[in-house]
Amino acid sequence: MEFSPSVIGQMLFTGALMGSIYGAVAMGFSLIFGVAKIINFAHAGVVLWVMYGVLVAVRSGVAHPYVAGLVAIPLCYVIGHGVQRTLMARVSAMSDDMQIIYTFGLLLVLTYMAQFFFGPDVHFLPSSGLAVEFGGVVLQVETIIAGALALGSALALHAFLSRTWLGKAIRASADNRRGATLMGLDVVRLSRVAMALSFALAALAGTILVTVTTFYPLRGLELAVLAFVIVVLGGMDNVFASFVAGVLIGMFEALGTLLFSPSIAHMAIYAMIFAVLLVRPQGLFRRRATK
Amino acid sequence: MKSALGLSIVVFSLAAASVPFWGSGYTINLLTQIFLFGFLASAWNFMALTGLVSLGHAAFFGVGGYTAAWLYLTWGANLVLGALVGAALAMFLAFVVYWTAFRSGLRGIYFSGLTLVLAEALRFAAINTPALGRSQGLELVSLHLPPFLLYGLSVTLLVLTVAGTLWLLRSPLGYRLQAVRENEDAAEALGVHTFRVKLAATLLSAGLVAIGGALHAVLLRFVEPESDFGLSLSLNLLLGTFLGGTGTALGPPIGIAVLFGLREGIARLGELFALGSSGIYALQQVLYGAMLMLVVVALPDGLVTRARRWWIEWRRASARPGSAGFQAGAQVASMAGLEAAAPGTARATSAVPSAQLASDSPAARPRAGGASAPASAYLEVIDVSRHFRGLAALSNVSFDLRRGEILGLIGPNGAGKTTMFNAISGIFPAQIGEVRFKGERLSGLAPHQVCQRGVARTFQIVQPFAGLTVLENALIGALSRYARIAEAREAALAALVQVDLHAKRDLPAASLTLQDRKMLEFARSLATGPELILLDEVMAGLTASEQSQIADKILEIRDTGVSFLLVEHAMRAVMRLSDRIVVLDHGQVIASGLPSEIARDPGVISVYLGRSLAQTPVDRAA
Amino acid sequence: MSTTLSPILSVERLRVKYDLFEAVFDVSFEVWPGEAVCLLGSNGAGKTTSLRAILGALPIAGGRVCFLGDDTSGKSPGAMTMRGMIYVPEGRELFPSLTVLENLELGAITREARARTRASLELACELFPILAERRMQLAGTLSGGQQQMLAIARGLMGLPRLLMLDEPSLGLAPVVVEQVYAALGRIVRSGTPIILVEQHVHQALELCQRGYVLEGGRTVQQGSTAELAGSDRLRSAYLGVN
Repeated sequence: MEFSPSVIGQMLFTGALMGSIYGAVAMGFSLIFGVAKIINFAHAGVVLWVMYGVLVAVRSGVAHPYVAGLVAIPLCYVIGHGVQRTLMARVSAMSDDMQIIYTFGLLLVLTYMAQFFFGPDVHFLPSSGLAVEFGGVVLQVETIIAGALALGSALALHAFLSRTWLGKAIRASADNRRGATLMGLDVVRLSRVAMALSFALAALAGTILVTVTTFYPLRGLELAVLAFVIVVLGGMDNVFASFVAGVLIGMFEALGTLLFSPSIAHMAIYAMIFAVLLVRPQGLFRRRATK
Repeated sequence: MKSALGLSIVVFSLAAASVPFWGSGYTINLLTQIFLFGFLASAWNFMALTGLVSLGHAAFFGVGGYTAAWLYLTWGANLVLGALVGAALAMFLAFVVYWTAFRSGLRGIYFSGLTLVLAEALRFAAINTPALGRSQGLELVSLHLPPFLLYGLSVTLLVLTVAGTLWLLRSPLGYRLQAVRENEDAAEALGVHTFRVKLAATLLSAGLVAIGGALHAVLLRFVEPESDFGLSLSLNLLLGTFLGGTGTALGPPIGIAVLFGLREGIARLGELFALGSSGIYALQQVLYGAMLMLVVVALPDGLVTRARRWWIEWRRASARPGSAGFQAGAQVASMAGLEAAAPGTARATSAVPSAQLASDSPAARPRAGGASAPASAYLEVIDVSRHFRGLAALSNVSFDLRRGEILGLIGPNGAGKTTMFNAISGIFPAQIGEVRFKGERLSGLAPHQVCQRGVARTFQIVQPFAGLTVLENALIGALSRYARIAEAREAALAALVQVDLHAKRDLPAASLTLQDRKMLEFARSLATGPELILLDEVMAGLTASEQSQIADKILEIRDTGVSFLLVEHAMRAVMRLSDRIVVLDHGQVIASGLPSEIARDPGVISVYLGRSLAQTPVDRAA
Repeated sequence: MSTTLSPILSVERLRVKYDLFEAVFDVSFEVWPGEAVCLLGSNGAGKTTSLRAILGALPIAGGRVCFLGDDTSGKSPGAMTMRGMIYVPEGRELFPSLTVLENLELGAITREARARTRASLELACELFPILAERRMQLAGTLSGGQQQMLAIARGLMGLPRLLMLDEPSLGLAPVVVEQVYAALGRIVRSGTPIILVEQHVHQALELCQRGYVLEGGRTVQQGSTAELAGSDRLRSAYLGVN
């Protein structure tokens, strides 16, 4: 195979766009870890169910994927709020290990419920076939829209967290939960908002994933591990860094796939994260935590 | 209790041995799987004993399976040999990974995440290795084994690990493992080499799981990336162990048996409704997930622990008319080695510990060191400085403590008292200067080494090993100087007698009141046979009368030849107890001397009350 | 005005249980409008525990707390803060990875306070000019004294009707303590009622009009600060000698 600049550019672009979707998944995971101190592996299960939901809506001719997404996002926001009130209400008080077990349990339930109802088969939506070319790089329209939406959501979330009072309050309670409580912030309510936002992000990620990739029930487990890996790379509770780490992982994956094979790329990613965990558990982008 | 367990193991073995005579092929196959997974969960449990949760034991399982299969296919190697080589490889891998992980202090999500990622990396490595058959895996088609061999092997391994766990739980290593699980810092302070203990448990666990992996490969006649390195195997072991009860001997196999039972039940139901294998599998996994959640919420200790608690309560309820006090009375009498220290009142038995502790010649103690050091140089703190992020927590602190002395270390909040404590006990070594005990440098030693040199400490916030009994708590301290359980138990009992906790020795530490917990901290440190005890705010949170009881106890123990360094805010107690007092402020020694001198020292008063008050004459009070 | 006739805060026979032990057995005190009151006593006397229980951050086991005429039992710290009880905690409890400005903005917790953010910011920066200089810096990178100033300023942003200050001089060098207390003096003179918990008795007595001495979880003495300054009881509470 020839590795012309345009082929490499093609892979890097596609990788970055895919990576930005991973980033969107990881941001939700990271947000809820930071604010509510919940390690929510089930996050990927929500993404999976949104994918199937959109699929059903499209297959039954009810709506275009993007329209379905527009419904799914607010719906998931509300569901997330409810989940934090019920299923997750006691989770943040548990030890790390218990949380991991609990949310992994929920992930298994969500993943295999999907398999039970939709079967183990691989699904995908037909693409529009439209593509854009510039400088020898050909990109599917869906991929570009997906990347743009993911990037947009990252910027919007970033703006929300850094510009609005509520966003700052969410960051504050992630930064110092006890301090936030003592100065009168309602940490429980902020956790609910964070969970709701995290669900909304999952809905967005699910919608755009449907439009660009194939999927199957076990995708839930894969995404969970992948999101964890990305979030570790970004430094666990740093939301925007998670997005950047997602893009990096996407490019890394694409390049590895080009040079070797998808599974070698994945092996390299896991080996890299393994090294990161051992050497810099605080993530790539942060100075050693002071405590 | 013990013999009952032994008996049930024998009964189980006999029953298991009879199955081949009447069981169908299906039964044998199912039982083989249950026993094999029971064995695997028990092996996983060895690691869980230290409180570490692994999401990636599939890594070791797969290494074992793949090694055995590959060696058999390429070299025709004996499968037993293959399993052992696999175990060795897995242990090597575990050593490298966990050594680094423990060194860098990974905990919680980072540790679990590391194990998870390890298994995933290996899974993709297997997929990418042509010699290992890529995603197809390796098939052991030509394999012919005598009937019932695998069944027999799984039964044997299961019985051996369960018996091994039972033995381990009562061994010095087992107690240390449990101490690490309950509270790593406290364990370290009581002389447990926590790093080595954790590594031992993980290596043992990894090696056994690898053997199980090899057996599984032979049972299924293939190895394959997803089933050998996949997440679901790790989750299976985790769920079985948690369901049955982590840290118990019987929990893991019982949990696995329940799981397999449910799984088969669903399979039958699924067949009834013609769901197809994919649907049935999905339902089984949904059930697993739901069980994981349920166990966390409703049954965090597991079935076995829960059942045991009911059993104890039921017995207590039925035995109530007799002795209302301590339900453990009946068990106590059966405990070996107790009679020696059991006599009724504390007064009569206090001779036992004092004889041990007061033995004046240091050479007579199990740990000799610096026997010739002059009496004046006992604990010496020489020019110790310590900075945190540019802030001086301690600067040029020097003081010494004489043999048999009670030295008070006081100062306002943030003066550096706790930092000083940590510098002595090895948690944060001094950056400049040094700490010497009996002429020997303590600086640079780990906390467990400091403890083994005769300097014990208590914690400001009491940190009992909550899941263990009072006696076991003290026992862990005693194990720092006695290799044999019987000896250690005697020393532990003596320490409990000394602090009047003897009667509560079989209660769980979690059930004690705050005062008793403080006493237990005391007893634990006494059990290490200390020559010097560092007491960190032992009075905090106690009422005046409780404080004075503790103070009496300190004086009593001092009379047996133990020295004390007190960090304390309860000023009345410090003034009463201390022979001398050292005052710290902003990381510097601002005064030292007799309590009466300190109370009049204008510098000290101005630190506490401000300059204007320091100038008004104190004697007016008299 | 009715508020001048009744205390801002009255605490009667407060009891607080903390994990296993009772840290506060019997603490009573009052704060009247415009008044600065200090709670004195050595570490472990129950001062911080009392404040946190009054704020609603710890459950009250007995006794009665009235704030602005209402019984506060069962209220959360959020609800108390909304009513104007602002707590500046021991150890500052800032948000280290947020900027100084963001920390201040978050202090404006009620709708009313948020509407007046700009004016409050000006006031805070006038009181502590260093904060204006450092406003884009992360709070975690400030020195200890600056962090304490930020914590107090953050409290003021909430337009307190009662400001509860817990050990504002903890771990600070004497020069910095002087600066912090100079600012506190201005706050008191502006008429904001204050409860001050302090180990450095000298500063506390100079700042406040009245004080209470706590020992072993009980109020053992009360009086004007002038009376307390000469009191042997106070001396023995700190130094443990009679």
